[in-house]
Formats: sequence, C-alpha cells, structure tokens
Amino acid sequence: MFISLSIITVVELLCFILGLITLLGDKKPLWRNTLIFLLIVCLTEVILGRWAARKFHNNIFIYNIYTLFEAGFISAGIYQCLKKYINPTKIITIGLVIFYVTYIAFFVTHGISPYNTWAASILAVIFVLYCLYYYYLVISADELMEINTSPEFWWMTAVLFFYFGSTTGNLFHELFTSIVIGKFSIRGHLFNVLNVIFYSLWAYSFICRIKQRRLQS
Amino acid sequence: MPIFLVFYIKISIKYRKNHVLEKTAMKQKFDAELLKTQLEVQEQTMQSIATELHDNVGQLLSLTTLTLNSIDLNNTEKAGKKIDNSLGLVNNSIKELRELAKLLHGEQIVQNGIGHAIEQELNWLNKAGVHQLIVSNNLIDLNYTSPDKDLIILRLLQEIINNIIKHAKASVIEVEGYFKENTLYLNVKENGVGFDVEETRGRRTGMGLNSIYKRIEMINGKLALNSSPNHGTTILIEIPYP
Repeated sequence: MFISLSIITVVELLCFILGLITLLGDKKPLWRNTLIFLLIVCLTEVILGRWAARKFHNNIFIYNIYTLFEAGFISAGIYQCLKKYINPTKIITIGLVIFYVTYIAFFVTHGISPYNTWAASILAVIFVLYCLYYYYLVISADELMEINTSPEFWWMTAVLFFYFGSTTGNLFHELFTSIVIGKFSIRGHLFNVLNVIFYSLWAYSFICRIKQRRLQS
Repeated sequence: MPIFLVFYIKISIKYRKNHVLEKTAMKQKFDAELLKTQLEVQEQTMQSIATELHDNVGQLLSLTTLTLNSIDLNNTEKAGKKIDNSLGLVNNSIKELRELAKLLHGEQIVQNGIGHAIEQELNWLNKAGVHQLIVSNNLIDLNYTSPDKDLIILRLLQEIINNIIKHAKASVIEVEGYFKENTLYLNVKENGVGFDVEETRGRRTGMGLNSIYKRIEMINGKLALNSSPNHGTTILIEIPYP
C-alpha cells in the first residue's frame, strides 16, 4: 500500500528515526520524553490522522487531542531545561493551567470538531515566553555555556523557532491563508518551513546529545 | 527574531568568555608581580641583615673579642673595667640582634599595617645616619589594611630609598604619609642632584623607574615625579585604599 507523505510527515519520521538511533537508552527525562513525544507525533500523523480522515471525514479532533500531549511533553522538556538554573515548577504549572483552562473553554463553547485555535495560540505564546526566559538565564548564568554543542540549548531554540513562527502565523492568520502560492497558502508554506527548522534543530540537538554522552562515558 | 537572539547569545557568551580570560590573565600577571615584589622585599631584608651583621654586630663582637683578649688577670682593676666594657658590647650586640630579628619577620611588617612598615623602613635609614630625615607618618593609626597593596607600597618606598641612597647624593629626605578620602598619599622629597625624568625613563635600565610606574599602575595608583638636574626630586604617590 502506497502512502503519500507530506514534507512535514517526512521530517517528523526522519527526526524520529534519528532520535531512535541517538537517544534510545538515554536515561535523562528530557531525551526519553522527546523520543516518546516523537513517537506520538508520528503515530498521529501517519496512522491516527489518516484513519480519522477516512472514518469520520474530519481528523481535526485527533489534532485537538494531540495538542494536549504536545502541551504536556514540550512543557516537561522546558521544565528539564530550566531546572538547571531555577526551580521552574511554579511557572510551568501556571502555563499549563492557563493552557488547559483555555482548552476546556474552547471545547465547551465550540465542541471537539473545530481546531482549538485558542489553546494552540496561547500555548505558542507561553512557550515563546519560556524560551526567552531560558535565554535570559543562559546569558546571566555564572557558568558560561558552550552553545554550539549544548543539546538543551538547541532543543529550546527549536521550540522558540517553531512557536514564535506559529504565533506570527496565528497573528496574521487571515492574511496568510488568503494568499495561495502553488499548492498551499502562505500559512501552509510557513508551517512547512517551521516544521523543517524545528525538526532539523531537534535532530542537531540529538547529535549534540550523543556526542555529550560519549564524552561523559 | 529567534535568529537574532541566537546570534546575540552567541556573541554575548563569546564576549563574556574573552572577558573572563582577560581577567584571569590580569590576575595571573598581578599575582606574578606580587610574588616578585614579595621576593624583592625579602631580598632587601636579607641585604639589610647582611649589612647589619657585617657592619654592626660583627664589629661589636670583634671589639668584644679584642677587649677580652687584652685582659691581664694580674691587673684586677683594669680587668674589671675591660670586663664591664665587654659586657656592654655584648649587651649592645644582643640589642642589635633583637632588632635584626624584627627585620627577619619581613612579611609580618606589612601585616602590622603599612604605617608600621614605613616606620621600620625609615628607622633603618635613620640608623645609618647618612641622611637627615624629616618624617610625618600619619599612617601608623590607619584602621584599614590591604595586604597586597601594602606589600607593593612598601616595595615602592624601598625602591625609592635605594635610588636616593645610590644616586641622589641627598642630605635631607622628607617623607610624608597620610590617608584621606579612601586614598593613601605617600610623598618623598629630597635635596639631591636630581635627574632628567624623561631621559631616565627612556633608558630601559634606568633606576627601576619603569618598574615603579608599572606597579603603581597595577594598583590603580598615580605617581607624579618632579626632578631636574641639581634641584632634587619630589615623588608624590596616590593610591586608592584599601
């Protein structure tokens, strides 16, 4: 059976395969969670999304459920990165509470079928703020980070690129969806590019991580 | 914006790394110079001790030996006088040796405060009796200390005094030390032959002047040196303190 794959799905799969090669057996929560998250991403894109589209002619509710996992896993990753500098329990909890309240509010008012834009937009803004705070902590820390080879730094940078781009996409939603170039609207192209950047940076962070592990062992 | 941020962090960390390296290098340089200063102070102390042993204690003990050798036991009256003289000489030797013992604690001099270190240094100069000293040392009761700076200041004074002894042919030396508004002032004035400051500084081996300037700079101090041939020399030192 031939399955046509979008650019996004291809980079997600490639990133997951690289994750399996480099992170399998890594005991650090950040990398273990990342691998599980990538598995969920791939399952959603390749199996669940397609199955729902065939069965219900609408797979958006799958992506709405996926957003819940996305919020949890990315928040957990950010928690691990921030933990090196501060105790991030409070800010991560506040962020998650804001996200879930928004999510439920949208769900109650609009149902499960339309895409939960409120929660997705709020989530993107919260993640961007976390990333900026992380950068601030990196700059002001006494210990100087070797950023070229720091897996955590590139993991966070990927998150910043993707969610900052998403926020921009959300802000100019009307404009970006109205202009169509080729097969996709500008918004579609933007998300293709953002996903490529996101997974490329994560792939780079995985490589940094395996080098780090080799040096530590 | 994220690209800009990543570059900004990269540049910022690079800048901080360079800054840390620079600071480490400066600290190493300072420590090396401090060690050198410490060695010079010790060397100066050893020289003073050697001179003192040879010129003073040595002479006193030689004289004691001569006096004791010349005792005629049959002439009890004279022998008694000579023994008394010898005892006096031995007591003087003991006194001199005690003074020398104080000098041996070269590093402790600075621990007692820069005022005491300067006083000790000037006492030795005064003892030689070659120069008339006019001293106004208001640093004795100074409540602040800065061991590293004290050592450097002491060495500066030693170097200045050495230069006066070696080159100035001065008869009067005035030394003034005081503390005012977080600054330590040390002024030395003499009526010697003077010299051309610029020409001497230009010479690499010129009287250790460059080393004096370098050390003053190292502790963020200022040095004003006024001199001209046949008009004596005035040195004004200002050091942020402690």
